Amino acid sequence: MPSLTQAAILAFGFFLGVAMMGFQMAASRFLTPYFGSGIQVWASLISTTMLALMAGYYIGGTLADRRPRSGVLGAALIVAAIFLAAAPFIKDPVLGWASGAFENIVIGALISSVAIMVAPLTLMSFFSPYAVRLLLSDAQHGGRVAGLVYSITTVGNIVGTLGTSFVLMPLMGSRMITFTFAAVVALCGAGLMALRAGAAADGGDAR
Amino acid sequence: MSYTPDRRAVLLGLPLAAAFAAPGVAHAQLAGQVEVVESEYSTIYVTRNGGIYSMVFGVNQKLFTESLYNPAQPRELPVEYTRYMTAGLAYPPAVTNVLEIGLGGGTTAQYLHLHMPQANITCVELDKQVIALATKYFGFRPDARLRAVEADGRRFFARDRRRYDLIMVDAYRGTFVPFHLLTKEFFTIVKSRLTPGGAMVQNIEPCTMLYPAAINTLRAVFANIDIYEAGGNVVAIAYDGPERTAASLQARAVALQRAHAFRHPLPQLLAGRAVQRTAEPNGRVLVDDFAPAESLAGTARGNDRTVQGARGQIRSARCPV
Repeated sequence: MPSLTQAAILAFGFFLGVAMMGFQMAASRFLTPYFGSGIQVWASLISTTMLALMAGYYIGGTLADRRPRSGVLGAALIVAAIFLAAAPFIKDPVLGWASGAFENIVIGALISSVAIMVAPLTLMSFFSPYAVRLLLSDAQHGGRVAGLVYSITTVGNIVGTLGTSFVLMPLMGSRMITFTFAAVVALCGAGLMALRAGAAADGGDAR
Repeated sequence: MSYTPDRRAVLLGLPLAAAFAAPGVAHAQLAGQVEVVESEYSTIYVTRNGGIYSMVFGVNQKLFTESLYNPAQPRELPVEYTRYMTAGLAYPPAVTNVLEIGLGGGTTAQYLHLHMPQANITCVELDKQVIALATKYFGFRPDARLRAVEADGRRFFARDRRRYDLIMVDAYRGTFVPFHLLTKEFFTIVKSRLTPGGAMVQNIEPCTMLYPAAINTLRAVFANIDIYEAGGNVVAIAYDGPERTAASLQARAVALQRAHAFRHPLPQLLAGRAVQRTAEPNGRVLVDDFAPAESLAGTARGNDRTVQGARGQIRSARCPV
């Protein structure tokens, strides 16, 4: 695989990392008017993100071995972008319902977080195992490739957390922030589809 | 000194504490310290100096004095702005039900309870440790007509359907108000829970860019805003309907003063009234979707510098605007 393609995949990983944590920060602004700014809201958001990572890593890893093509990952990210773009529209009905239905803040906030965040974040977490599969040329370098992918997405996470809190939030509303990240994820998805990296012809477990 | 860590706060707060708290600040030894409690939300210090109890909050390495109480003078409000919070009593046609959001030492609520024992006063406080300390040291004595509810101020309204003659909001975290308690949507909810002729009282820190935003957001919801400059803080009183004349408010204040003999005379407090008839410059109306309360509170008004002073210091010396 040419190194330009590898660099592009890693760059997408950075931007997806930004979008993942950035969306979590925006989602905290969605939940607070309904459930307060207490520790329960943050506990719900963080555990929901972890739930999505868990599911996304597992499903994404399985899928990556069956269909190791960047186009499949790109399509998953386009779907993730659609879910992200939908979040500002579904959040008020979901939160309004959960806020009234559950007296316990933790349960209400957790159910709302799952409803709003799990689908897009799970699909976005397909990236890391997929990227490892696409970038891996031989088992000898497996550790390094996996380490690189996780490092770069995590750098994106840090930039997403700080950048959203201290740069985007003073500039624009939480809905606009979410739409911006949906666009970023869609562009990453389109880019991965355009790359046509991976074992397109032989499929299966070919390496 | 006793040290009571909250178990959940320790579990979940440890990584945060490690990241943000400078060594020594979290457990600073203050002069006259009698108790330190690490709650889910902040470190709360209670000190006693010259017989006066102080409730001091440690937020992000800074200390903020929120409440003072003198047990020898239980009917006194030592913090000047809290006296002006009571000016709101003169606005509604009758004061039967009062709601306070943000308890602190509970001194304002207790003051109202002592002077108007027939009024029903509900205090909403997010931090149960604050309620416990208010009761332990600050003369806060909940009973059938003085209730303390542990809840987020906005979440409280999602489940409470009652109406109040007076709603007082003084919910701070350091220098800023949690964003969801300072938006057009929140004030609209508050307004919907006022009885006809009722009023909302809001304590506002005047030295940051949050001030013009708060005033203009109140103006977006309420027909009238009155301003009381109160020892470095500003107390805004918002109400609907036609603008009240100074004479009608004074007459009501005099009548209430005669009936309840307030330690801090209501007519004198009302004399500090200024009517806010125009919008504040550079104040954007805050909405749930866009309310950068933290960054606005971090920008000093006028000179755009980061605020260094603790709320307590600003309170004692009028900030340069």
